[in-house]
Amino acid sequence: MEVDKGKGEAEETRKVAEADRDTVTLKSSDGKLFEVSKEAAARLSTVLAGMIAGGSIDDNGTDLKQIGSEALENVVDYCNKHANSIPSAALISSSISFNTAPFKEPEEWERKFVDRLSHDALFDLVEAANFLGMERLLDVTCHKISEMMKGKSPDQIREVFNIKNDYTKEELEEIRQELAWAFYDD
Amino acid sequence: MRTKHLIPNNVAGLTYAARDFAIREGYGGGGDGGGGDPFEGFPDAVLGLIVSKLPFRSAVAASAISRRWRGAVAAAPALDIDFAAAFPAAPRRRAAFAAAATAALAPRSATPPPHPLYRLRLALEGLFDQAFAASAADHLASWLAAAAARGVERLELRLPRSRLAVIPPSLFACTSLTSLTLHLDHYALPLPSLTPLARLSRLHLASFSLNGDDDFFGDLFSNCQELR
Repeated sequence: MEVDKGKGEAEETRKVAEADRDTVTLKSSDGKLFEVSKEAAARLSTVLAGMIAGGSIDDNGTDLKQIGSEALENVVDYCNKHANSIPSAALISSSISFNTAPFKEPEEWERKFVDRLSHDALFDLVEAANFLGMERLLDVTCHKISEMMKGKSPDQIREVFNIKNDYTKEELEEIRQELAWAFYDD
Repeated sequence: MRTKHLIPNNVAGLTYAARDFAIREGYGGGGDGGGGDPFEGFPDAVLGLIVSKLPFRSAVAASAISRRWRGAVAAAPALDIDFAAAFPAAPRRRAAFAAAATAALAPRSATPPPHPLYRLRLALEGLFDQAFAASAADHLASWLAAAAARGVERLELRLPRSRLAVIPPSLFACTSLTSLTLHLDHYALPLPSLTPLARLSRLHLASFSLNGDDDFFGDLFSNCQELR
């Protein structure tokens, strides 16, 4: 009886300790482990918030099979930077500022964060942010991609991103007639 | 032409420096590292999000990239349809511009349910020239009806001074609106009552007149109780 009781208490203490841990461990598709602030993860990712609330966080590393280690490193880096950057007034009062400033531009550190990424890393990060329900990170990364497209013709955009033009000749002619105003200075 | 692309993007241990070189040279490969289309894995909603951050003219240009991108503008959660900004030199191509706005707001081949639209800015100064004004008025009515159907929450509407630039009844179908900005240029008609927009919490009005007989603000505040 006494032993059981002791065990129970130990179990209890361990559980409390787990709940008190202020980080969560995430595991990439290729098995690498990353620690991230629990508070930041819950605040920035709807998916991780759900997993934390639902108790489906694994102490030995929560499997995120869809996300490679490079993208997950960037996700974690973003979360930690977010946690360390003084929570700006804009974020605290987001529900109010969102109305007044409909298109909230990336902050300086967010801009630097995405500017240093390669094309591949940026695109992988978009997919990871989308998968994890990280609205702000998705916004910032998509903003970066939009800047790479801005003011370019369809030909130039295809070249920058290596996109295949799958329109038929007839479709292209139709599009040129309908949309040429948007990409030629006619 | 591609001879500089010596290092395949999927080589393990590729440094950021080498990757940055690849970017500078404009040879960013695909997400699969094999030079494929990097957007392939993105859902339509993400393409829409990217397009929503472009000026309307660039957003329309993007729809000519490939078949996949054709529908991206209709998936954009926010649109800034600004006629004067699209033609900074001289306003023209009104019908083509209007057709593109219709394709973005109310695509004919929309696969239901339509993508939600949160923010819409319609700046239509210059669109209501004499020959096109009647048509522009029809377009405005149908654009707002489409925005209403997509649950628009924040709307900014800028109308020029024109007999035909009238606030259409479909504005009042936008009952999801929480924020409304109306920039009217010496609007000749009395402003209609905004009481159907019961969820409004922000309202910005500029350059309009009120019908002296109505208690516009009295009605407004008793019906739009979220207004601060």
